Order: sequence, then C-alpha cells, then structure tokens
Amino acid sequence: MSARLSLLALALLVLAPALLGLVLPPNQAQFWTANILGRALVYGIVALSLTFLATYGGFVSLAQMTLAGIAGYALAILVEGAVPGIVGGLPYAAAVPAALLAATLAGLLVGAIAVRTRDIYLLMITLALAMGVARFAESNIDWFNGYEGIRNVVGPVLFGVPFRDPHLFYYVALAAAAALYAGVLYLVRTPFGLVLQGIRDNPRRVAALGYDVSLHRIAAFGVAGFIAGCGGVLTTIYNIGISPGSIGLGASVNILIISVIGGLGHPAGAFVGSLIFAVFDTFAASLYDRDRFNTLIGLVFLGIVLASPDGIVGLARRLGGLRRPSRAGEQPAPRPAETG
Amino acid sequence: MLVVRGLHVRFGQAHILQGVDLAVGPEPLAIVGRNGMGKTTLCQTIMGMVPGEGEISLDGEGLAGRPPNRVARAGLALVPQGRRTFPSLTVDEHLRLVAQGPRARWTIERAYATFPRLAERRRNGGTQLSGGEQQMLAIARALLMNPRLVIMDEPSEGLAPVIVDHLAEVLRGLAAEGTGLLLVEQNLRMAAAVCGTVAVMVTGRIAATMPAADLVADEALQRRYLGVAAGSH
Repeated sequence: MSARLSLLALALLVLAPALLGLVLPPNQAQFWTANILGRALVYGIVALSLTFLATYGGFVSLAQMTLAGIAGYALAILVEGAVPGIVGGLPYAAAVPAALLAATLAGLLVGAIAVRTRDIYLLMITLALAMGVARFAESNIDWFNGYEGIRNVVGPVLFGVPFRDPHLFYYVALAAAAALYAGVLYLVRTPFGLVLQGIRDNPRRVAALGYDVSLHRIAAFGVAGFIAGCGGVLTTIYNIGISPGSIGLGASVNILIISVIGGLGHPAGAFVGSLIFAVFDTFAASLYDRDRFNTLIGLVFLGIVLASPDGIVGLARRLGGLRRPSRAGEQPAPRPAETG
Repeated sequence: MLVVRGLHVRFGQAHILQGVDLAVGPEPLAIVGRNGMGKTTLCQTIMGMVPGEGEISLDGEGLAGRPPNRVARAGLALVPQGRRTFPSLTVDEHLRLVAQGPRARWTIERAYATFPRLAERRRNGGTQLSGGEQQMLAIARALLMNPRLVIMDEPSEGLAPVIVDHLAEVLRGLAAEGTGLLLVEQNLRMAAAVCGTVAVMVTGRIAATMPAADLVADEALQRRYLGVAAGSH
C-alpha cells in the first residue's frame, strides 16, 4: 500500500466518527465508532504483531493473543480500581508501561523458546505456549482470579474525559494503531528489518553475512510482543477486564483468521481483516439464523481465502495492478539482456 | 593470511575433505578441480557453514568451530556458488543490509561505481536480475562487509565471456588493493586471469600447487587434473 493510500485511509478513519454521525442516529454512530471501528483497531493491533512476524520474518505464531493477554493481565493486576484488586494501587501512567514491558519480555521469551523451530513446528510450539498460559491463568486464583478473570479495568481519565467515552477510546486506538503501523513500515526498511526478510528467504546466507540469525529472530519476537502488548492493553480496556477466555484457543485462532483474511503480505492486512471480522462477528447473528451464524462467518472467510490466498490486501493489490498496469517505479524490470 | 591445516569433513560414511592444507598469502590463490572434488564443501567449511575437523585461521586468529556469523565478523566473506541473492530484497536493500557506514573502505556508492549495472537496477528484486547482475550483486554484497579475505565459489559459472572478463578485472583490482582472495573455479582461463598460483583439488585433497601459467601451458596436466583442456571451455 502506497504512502498516499495509507494517508487517505488515515484521514478517512479520523473523520469516520463525524461521517457516521451524518448518516446514522447518534446511538448507532457511537456503536459503530467504538464497537466496530474501535474494536477493529485494537484487535488489528494484535493481528499486526502476527502480520509483522509472518510477512517479514516468515514466522507464523499462535502466541500473539497470549502476549496481548500478558499485557492485559499485567495491567489488570497492577492498576488501581480493578476488581478484585490483586496488586493494585498503580495509576495507568505506571501500569501501562509495566504491561508493555511484560509483553515485550514475554515476546522475547517466546522467541527464545521457539528459536530453532519453523513452519508447522513453530505453529505448534507457540500454540502449546498459548494454551499453557491460558490454562495457568484459568487455574490460578491468587494472581489471575481463575476462571472469572479480573474486571473493571476501565482505563484512565484523559483530558478530563473518561476512557469509556467512545470518541476518546476510538481516537486513542487510532493513534496507537497509526503509530505502530508506521513504526512497522519504518522498521522493515532498517538493516534490522532487512535482516529479517533475509532470514525468511535464506537464514544460512544471512549468517554468512555476519548476522546472528537467532538473536534477530528473538528480537523480532520482542518487537511483536511489544505490538501485541499495545493491543492487549487496549483490548483489555475495551472489554473492561480480562479473563482466560479472552486468551484461549478461540481468541488465538481469531487473530490468525484476522491476519489471513486481511492478507499476510502487508501490515495493512491486519486492520482490513480486523474490520471485516468485527463487522461479521457483530452482525452475522442478525443476518442469519441465531444458532448458525458461525457457519456464515466461516463461509465468508472460506470464500475470501479461496478467492484470494493472500487475503483482501492481495486482492486489492491485484485489482489495482490490473487497472494501472504500468505505475512508475513499480513496473517489472524489462527482460534483462542475456548475459550468461 | 588465511591458513587451513589438516581439514577433514565427513558426511556420514562419505569422507569429503581428506586433510586439506592451504595458505592464501597476500597473493590471491585459485583452487581448480573437477566437479565433486570437495571445492564447495571447502568454502562452506572455512565459512563455518559445515562442521569440519582441523585448523582454520585468519591472520593468526583461529576460526574453526565458530558459527558463520562470527567467521564473517572476523573478516571472511563468501560469495556462494549460484549467487544466492535474496528474492524479496531489492538490489539497494541487499547492499544496505551489509553496508558499514560512510567511513568504510567499501561503501554503497563505491559498489555502484564499481558495478554501474547494479546502480541502474537498484530498485529491482534480487531475482529479477540476469545471471551476471546477480553475480555482481553477490560480489558487491560480500565486499560491503569490508572483508580481509573473500572466498568466491565459481563466480564465472554460467556467465558470458565478456562478463567473465569484467569480473576478472574487478578481482585483480581487489587483489592489488590488498584484499585476500581465494577463488574456486572450474574455469581455468578465469583462474589464471586473476591468480598467479593455482591449487588443484582431487578427491578432497590439494593434489598440487603450481604457477597458473604452467597449468595453462600443459594440456596433458589439465587432462589429468581437470579432465578437459582449457581450449574446450
């Protein structure tokens, strides 16, 4: 996605609450702002951490929702006002950085544990870690309040406005998503990002160029842990708390689905996929038989993946390519003169 | 500079390197030999990509047993057979991946000046290049690491004669500048154009070391060691 298209999308998202207010009654406009767009943004951030790993490093991890959950649990355990209060007492200004630190360290740990595996084995080891953490949270009462989880994580008061205000929540989520998205696009052009892409293509060659492949992989998981942690803080506040269900198998697989339908080829896919997921997850029950709406969701996702294995972003890229076959700078090289 | 002593490599039952001894001084050295004699394994073992037994040292610093990234940091660079450029990186990204800053001996600008063709193709992907361009990219990538010694595994393979001549000129320039060069070649013409000395590798050993001119002049010797005469290349 070109920089111009990204900026256009950002402008549209900035104006979205106002535009929704023009076409929908106020309560519905608020619902769309917070519960569709806002939700799409915060889960999109979690999916972005997976898209970053998969697109640039070739690592498909099922532990990204777990890392988000570690940030969410850290926040819920530390922050003032959560119920039950486990440590409590910290203001959001201190608890949020602590939560992000916890997710980053956990990301590094996942990266270190999985460092020698790839493909299906990487998927399995991260799935095992994810399920282990969820089970641990579910069965531990002292720290995680077991099955019930921790409630009443309402977020801070910013500029005199409570965080539950749909517009405040939405704009904070948008600012975080935009900053992380831009950060990923910047990072992948630095030597660190280039090394990651080299690792995806040929790890042995990267090692022979003087880079420690294991350390770079672990660092990439640390970066992804930080991104997932940002998403985890926001999803926890969005859900006003966290419970083992929000980091369980279903939640972990949902992040994978979001990334895949959006497209594992560009960071924008995480947010596109998350928006589609939020819309269908919210409205499928009213469109189709109440007991079977999951079937509809499944069929839609199946359709998307069948029509375009690289997701919506890949589809858009191909359609754009058809319309503009020779965009300056991106046209394929003329067949090189035969030199050998 | 680079010294290898008693280097052995075994893959299961197969004894690929059977005690290789060689020394690459300030002068470049070429290793020639038929297919399957262990030339590529030798390159990869020196680089730490294949485990071996024996001594490997660069300017007295022992390298045996080190992982490839630490061998590379010690000052050895490998231009692998078949180029091995990264499909998802552009030419420019390949170079930025390894560039060491504006004060280094080799900078991206210098690489583009040495290989103007790469400058024209800086936005093309690593696999959108012709064979000759990929070879130049692989060499530029190695030089940007500012190595003390470059190992090149069959750089002339599959290239047109005019490209081979350009490559030979670049390599002579490198050697003249004091960069060590271990050139593994099947193409004797290329080896002799760059190196004054050639070592012949036969079944995992260095069978003979001689002035390149002697081997070029002696077709009987070529037939014995290489299986072909230089004229047929």
